[in-house]
Amino acid sequence: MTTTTFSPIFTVRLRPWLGIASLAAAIVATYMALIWAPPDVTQGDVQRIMYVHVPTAWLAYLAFVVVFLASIGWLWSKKVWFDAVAVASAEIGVLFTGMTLVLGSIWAKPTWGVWWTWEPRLVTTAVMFCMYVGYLLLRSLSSDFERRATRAAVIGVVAVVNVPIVHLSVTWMNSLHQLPTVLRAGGEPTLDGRMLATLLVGVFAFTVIYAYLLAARVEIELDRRRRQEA
Amino acid sequence: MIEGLEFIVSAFALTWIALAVYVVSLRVRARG
Repeated sequence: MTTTTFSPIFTVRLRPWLGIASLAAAIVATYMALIWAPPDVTQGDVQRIMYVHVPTAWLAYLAFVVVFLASIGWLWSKKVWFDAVAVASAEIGVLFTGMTLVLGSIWAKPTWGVWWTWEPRLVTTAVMFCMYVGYLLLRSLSSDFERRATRAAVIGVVAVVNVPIVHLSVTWMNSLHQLPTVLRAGGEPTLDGRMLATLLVGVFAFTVIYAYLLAARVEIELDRRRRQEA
Repeated sequence: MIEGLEFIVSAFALTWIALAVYVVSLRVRARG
């Protein structure tokens, strides 16, 4: 037996504030990325693409870790709220992964000379994208709510293995993609102070945007469930 | 002239347009 009980604080009361905070954070992050941060010594101004490419990649990781946790929550408790969070976060994660691939491609052309190359980080990211698209497609295969949620939760638990594979692929294999500069083992970030501050503000902005999108998407999923139950 | 300006503008414009389109799609779906 499933239950649709959930706390509306996150999804309803906080959402307008998250929307305002998202817009403000996006404006500040864009100003810092395009104007405040200095150009890179090697790449020049085109390196500014990093300030959107890296946050979208990190938020894709976060979204898929949330899918994993919510999937565990569903399998453990069978509460509908967990399934709603899982599908919402997976959809947003697919959006962010798609953006990461497109932004990476736009950055690759002026720096590597190609839009795409078959190197480990790009291929593993594309595989991760396809797996979560598959996760979303799988959900449309069954009309039985519990069966669908349970199948999806199993995929959500297994597919999270993509996250460390994508992140560490550049250290495991010979890669054209640059090595981690912030989240790297055994050392301080290798970025200039203002560049690092701009990147962290970008990550913060995208995290607030993610929270806003998640709140809105979870509410849609719960509404859909309420209508099915009625 | 900023080198690679077209790539920078494309990246930032695509980012915010993609997010804006997704927000609109959420609003449309929320109305049912």
